[in-house]
Amino acid sequence: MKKRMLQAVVCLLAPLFIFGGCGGQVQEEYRLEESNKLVIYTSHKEEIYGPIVREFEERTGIWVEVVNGATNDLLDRIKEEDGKDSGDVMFGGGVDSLNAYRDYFEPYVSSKSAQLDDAYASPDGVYTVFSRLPIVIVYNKKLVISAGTPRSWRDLTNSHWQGSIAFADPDRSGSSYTALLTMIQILSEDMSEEEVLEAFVSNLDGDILSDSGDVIEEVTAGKKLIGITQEETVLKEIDQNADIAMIYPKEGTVAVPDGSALIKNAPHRENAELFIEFTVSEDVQRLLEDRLYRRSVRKEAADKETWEVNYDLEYSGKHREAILAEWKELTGQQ
Amino acid sequence: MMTVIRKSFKRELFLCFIVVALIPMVITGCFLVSVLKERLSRDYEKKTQEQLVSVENRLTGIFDEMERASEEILSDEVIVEGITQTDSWLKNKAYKRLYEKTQDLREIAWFHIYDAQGVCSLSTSPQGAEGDLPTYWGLLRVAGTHSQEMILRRASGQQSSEPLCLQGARAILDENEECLGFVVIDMTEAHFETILSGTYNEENGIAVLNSYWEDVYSTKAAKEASLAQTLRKRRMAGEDLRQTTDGITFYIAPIQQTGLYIILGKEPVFTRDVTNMTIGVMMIMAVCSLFLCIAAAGVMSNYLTAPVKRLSQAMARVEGGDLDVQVGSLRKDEFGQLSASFDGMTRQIKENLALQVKQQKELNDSNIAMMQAQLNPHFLYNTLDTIKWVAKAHHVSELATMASGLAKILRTSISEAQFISLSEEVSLVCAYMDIQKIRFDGNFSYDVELPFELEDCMVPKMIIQPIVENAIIHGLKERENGHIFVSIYEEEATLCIDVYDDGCGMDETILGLLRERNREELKGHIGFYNVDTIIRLHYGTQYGLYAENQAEGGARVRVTLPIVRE
Repeated sequence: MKKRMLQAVVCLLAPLFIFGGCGGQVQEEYRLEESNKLVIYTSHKEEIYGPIVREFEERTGIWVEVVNGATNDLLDRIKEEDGKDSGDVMFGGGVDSLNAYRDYFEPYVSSKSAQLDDAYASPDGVYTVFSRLPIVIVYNKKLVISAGTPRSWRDLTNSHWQGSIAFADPDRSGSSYTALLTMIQILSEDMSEEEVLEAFVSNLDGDILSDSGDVIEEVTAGKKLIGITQEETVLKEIDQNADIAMIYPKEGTVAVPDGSALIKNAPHRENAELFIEFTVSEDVQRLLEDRLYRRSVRKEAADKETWEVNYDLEYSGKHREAILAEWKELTGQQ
Repeated sequence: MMTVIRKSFKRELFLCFIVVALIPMVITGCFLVSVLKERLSRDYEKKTQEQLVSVENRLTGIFDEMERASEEILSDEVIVEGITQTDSWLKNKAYKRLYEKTQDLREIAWFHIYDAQGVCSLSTSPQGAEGDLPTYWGLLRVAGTHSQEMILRRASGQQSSEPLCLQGARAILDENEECLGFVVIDMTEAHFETILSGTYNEENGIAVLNSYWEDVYSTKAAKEASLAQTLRKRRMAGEDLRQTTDGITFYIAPIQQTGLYIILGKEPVFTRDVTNMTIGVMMIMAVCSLFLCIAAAGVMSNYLTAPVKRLSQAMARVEGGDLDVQVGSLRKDEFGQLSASFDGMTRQIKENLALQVKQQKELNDSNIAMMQAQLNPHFLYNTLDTIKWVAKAHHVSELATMASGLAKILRTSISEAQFISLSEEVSLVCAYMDIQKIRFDGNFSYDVELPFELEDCMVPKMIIQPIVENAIIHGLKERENGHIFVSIYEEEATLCIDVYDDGCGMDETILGLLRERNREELKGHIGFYNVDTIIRLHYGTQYGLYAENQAEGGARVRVTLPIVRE
């Protein structure tokens, strides 16, 4: 009896649900094939990766998803993901950083490697270099006359500049660490590591910037007279008519490249390889020099400048912990 | 549940009403809502599609015009020569031509002429001719390789004071297919606003996407809803483009051949608010009709059960013997008819009963008459009178007494009168007992006590004689010196006649039969029964004959009668 009543009710109500289910399925015409996708982790700014990624899309027809973040965050993420549900390419980050996470990358040697500057090339293909980034000294032209500018790394340890140097925390900024190591390396002939650190830290007068981007800002705004930063940021700022200039220290400076690396178990490996090839292609490298204030890593463009000295990648990697610990001690961060 | 409902007519009715009222309401409500929803959505979608088509048509029209204009520009020698001119007069001529050709389109785009190296040479933009574009990259690279068509690209980078949305380019070739420069068309947000104004409703978001679903142009509403980003993300992740959680419905249309897409985001016509409201209204209506059902069930069940209840109460009273019951319903329906029939039925029963009693009484009367007239009494009476006189003449006094007593009894028996005075009755009994005394050789004595004031009471004739007869024949049987005592008195307005004897008493079975008024079994004591029956027929059931044994021996028979005088 009760069953029959239930059946009757169901029969009565059934038509109501006919109108119900008009949900949206993935419209077939808009379905993307997995072979048409690529996921890029990048620490570059939008102005760098934007044009490159878009041009890559236009030229290959591959849809690129960009995950943007700080170098260390992205590398930690890759480490955490450990080849599961990860992205395909790590685009950006100093080659020393990439080398430090080599376990999470798959070796890939670009077909264009022969045409690339091999000074910092990965011997086992962990990364592919992308652009060279010289470290320079920037100064405010209004506040420092050109005759009175610092000329060398040694000048930076001179107490004359005490409190006038803009410098980012090497623990947070990769380029800042590179600059510090360069200084130690170059001054090592007659100064010990400790002496260099002590003299430099006392010159900073306890004022250490948290972000490498702040260096150029402080100098442009006149809060600091000089700063240590990458050539790229200075060129860009000069192009926007900032009243600043830069110096390549007379002892020479380093131009450590950043690079790209293929993430382990990349789901779209073929596309990832295509992308890495694209980053070192003639057009992209030309655009870097042409529009993006960076230096190409291609051999024909990378004629050694007179100021360029080699950076000891191995030493830098090995002593990172110790040097940073000492830095923290000297700056009173510990 | 069902059993609980089944126990009350009211609840059954209530359930019925609910089923009848609520279910059709809910069903029609749901149907209405879904049909309305479907219908509205369809209309809405149609309208939206129309809007989408109008946007598409507008854009395609514009792109066609641009294509035509660029075609004219690149085939205009003055302009092409102007690319490389440094002579300001010639440049000016080229500019004039350029402005002429782009007259209708300058509101909606900027036209530039770049040289083969990608340096801007002529421009209709407010900034004038400045800047350059890489020929190995992006727009100009594609324009260089696809020289037969206009290339449309999402603008990248900051090339002028205003952010650009879309760029178009076409290579200018000489007769040797050698690249002389490029026609470049820039469209800013303001240009798009001008183009699209009037083709869509302000509240809807419109976005134009490139073939990789990157945002080319978004209206303010679309930007706020981040239409482009959301859709690209979903398409990348392989998710449904339309999701149920969206506050917005998307409509997507590709713009033919350009690789661009138009996205139109609309608030769904049936928002959650509207749906909730409809459901709310339905709920309220359901509650209202529920209350209505309760009230109607109450009223209806009272209306239906009240007459039934009255009828069943009346029926119970009839069962208890009360035939004066009348339901007296004023209703005209079936219940009224039923009540009327019931009333008629009780009336009929009552009449029938009265008739029956009357007939019975008549029958009894005729019985008595028959019993009284079994012998021609006058002959007997006269004979006895003669015997009396003969006996007197021969001085046989006992015979005279017996004959005169018998004559007296006989006269009274055969007289027409049914009732006689108590004194007459007593003298009759005395005469009877005198005769019996002679018959039984003076073995018993008797006394009669009749108060003077009761002498004129009228009683049915011969009601004491059968009792006395019984006492003499059964009570004093085989007994020397028995005594009969007849006591007549008034008690509580009732006339009581007690007959005592000091004989052997009455058998208990006889007493029982008397109490039960069992005529069949009362053989030999039929006189008692007759007396009782006559009294009851005349005066009603509260009077009659009662017999019992006395503790000191002997029996007492009491007859009760109303006191009736002439």
